[in-house]
Amino acid sequence: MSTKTTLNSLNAYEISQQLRNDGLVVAVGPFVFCIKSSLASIANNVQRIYGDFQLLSHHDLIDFYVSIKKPKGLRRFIKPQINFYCDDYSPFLPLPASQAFPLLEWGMNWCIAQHAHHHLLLHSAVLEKNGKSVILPAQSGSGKSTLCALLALNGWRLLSDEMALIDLKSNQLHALARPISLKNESINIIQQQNCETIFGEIVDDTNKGTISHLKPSKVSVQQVENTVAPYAIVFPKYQAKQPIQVNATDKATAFMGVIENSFNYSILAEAGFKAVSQLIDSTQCHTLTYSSTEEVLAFFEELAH
Amino acid sequence: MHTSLLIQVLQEPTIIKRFTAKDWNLLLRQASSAKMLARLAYSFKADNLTDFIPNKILNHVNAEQVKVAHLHTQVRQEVEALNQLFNKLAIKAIYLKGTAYLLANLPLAQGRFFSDIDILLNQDEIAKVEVALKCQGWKSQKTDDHDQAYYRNYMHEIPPMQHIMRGTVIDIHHNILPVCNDNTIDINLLTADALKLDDSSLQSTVLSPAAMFLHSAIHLFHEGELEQGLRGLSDLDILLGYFEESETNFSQQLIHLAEQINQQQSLFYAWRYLAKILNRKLSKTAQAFVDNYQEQTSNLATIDFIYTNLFTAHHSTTTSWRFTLAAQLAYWRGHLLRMPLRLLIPHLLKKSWLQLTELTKKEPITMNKVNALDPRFHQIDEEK
Repeated sequence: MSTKTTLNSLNAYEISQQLRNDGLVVAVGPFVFCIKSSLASIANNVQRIYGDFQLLSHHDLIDFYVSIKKPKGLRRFIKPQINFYCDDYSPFLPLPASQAFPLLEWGMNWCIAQHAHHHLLLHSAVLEKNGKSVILPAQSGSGKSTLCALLALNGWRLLSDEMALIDLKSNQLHALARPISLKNESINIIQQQNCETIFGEIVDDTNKGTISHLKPSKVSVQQVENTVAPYAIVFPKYQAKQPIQVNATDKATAFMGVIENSFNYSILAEAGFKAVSQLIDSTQCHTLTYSSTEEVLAFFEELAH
Repeated sequence: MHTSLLIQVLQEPTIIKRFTAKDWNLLLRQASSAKMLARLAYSFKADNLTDFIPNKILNHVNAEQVKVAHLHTQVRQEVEALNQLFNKLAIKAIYLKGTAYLLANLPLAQGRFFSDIDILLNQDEIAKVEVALKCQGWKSQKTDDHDQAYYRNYMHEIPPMQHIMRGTVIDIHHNILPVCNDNTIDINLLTADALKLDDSSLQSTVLSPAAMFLHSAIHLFHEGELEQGLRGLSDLDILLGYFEESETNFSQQLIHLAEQINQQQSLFYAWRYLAKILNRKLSKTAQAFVDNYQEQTSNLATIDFIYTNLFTAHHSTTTSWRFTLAAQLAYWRGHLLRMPLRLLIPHLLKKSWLQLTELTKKEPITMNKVNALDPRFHQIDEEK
């Protein structure tokens, strides 16, 4: 067992003080974030959800300095808003203050998507069981995060619910094990599962509806440094009241499906083409439509055997 | 004077051998905000220092280089299409700044971001080119009448044009300084020795070495917003180093051209701050010119205050009251250099009024605009 210090070693007060002052330094997979914010909701959610993550200090190398701040001026009293900053730069428009934690999560994703070009980056959930990994590339609204949460609660190790990181040199998948972002009725579906789940604060009225973040399992976070070779790519689609249907995807279609969901395929140029070719050549590719939880879990169980 | 870590590294790259993690964190932040990360990488490579860079930092550096390479590929493709158009119209176009450095394969282009493709045309031919560009999908970025009139009556360029599909922006100039001022440059003197590059497929034209350096200096020392000022000074440093090797009597060429176009002051500032900020050793000719010009200069204390404080990483770790004051001074100096007061005041009043009335029309914020994982977000938006 590793002896790394985690955020669990800090109490709520210590976490909020570090967030307020120099920033809380935390390892998120291959990246190190320094998170700063004086907002109570950030401190609460970070403590609830990031407890098992490795705590580092300002004497370690840091990839991203992120912060959530209230704008200056009178605006902070009427309909208060918040901004996300990656160092001194704010890439997004401000949001209502109640959405601070979702904004932090999006912002951290943005940092990785903008800077981690030593990886092929796919908009995708990634999980692993018995050393077999599945990449689930999909656009928003396809039920990817719900499926990801279901698998994560049924013995699969979570690598990421939003982003696949494929190392350009080793072709291995790196894990982030970040909290899973769930929306609307998905939150209920997952809460009704017969397992222990911890959620962050529930945030209503975002433009995506109601959002809450599911805490990743301790095992997934502890194994975050374990890379794994890509084994299968499954393009998932939830379709109400339909029986499960799985079709093998031909390589060319899968190739296009992967680049459609890539953040940096075009920027990587030749390296991107090579990485996707290698990925497609080394994996089995399927499209999946489903509605029943039992059926879909059974399909993945078989895949991992 | 507060010296940023970035400047210390530019002056003496070998100090990275003794860097702690904390130093690297600070350098990464300052260099990223100054858009100089990829450039630093090249200078480390030239000095055989790459082995001293921790892997984590190297990943960021490589990512910047990937983005720069992508940008350069895009620009070469645009230039190819533009050159075909210019050939068809039988028009002579000269590429300026970033695009020119790239096309001329100057070492300066390595690791250098730029946002627009800058082109210099003969003023009489601009109308023709504008129509032709519109037919190929380029659209003026400024839609309101006030902005259009401002550019067309007072500036040295027409409003920037953006391609509706590819998003690339081109800036079409007919001079290098605003034409509403007394210090207008006779552009023919600057372009007299322009060079046709022998890159077989592209056949582009760029300014002569002396004109290229002077243009870069004039641009930097007339600029009111210096977020990228240090990068601009470092551009001059690399250009000077390169042309001093490749040209005979480069300092003399610069002095001669500066006198012809009456821009000795920009040349003086360039040499002065290259020596002061980046420790560049000047040639004897250059040093004599600087000493001589300095004697005739009266307000040098203010100018020194501005540039010694602003040629740094513009980052939260380097700010001070001096910095804020210098930035204000530079801002007003830049405006006054662009326009005489009799034009500037009505222009700024009109601008503020338009901004106020725009505010009331602003759309509500929607979450869709902050979906960080939307691939459309992932464009190079390095230079705003």
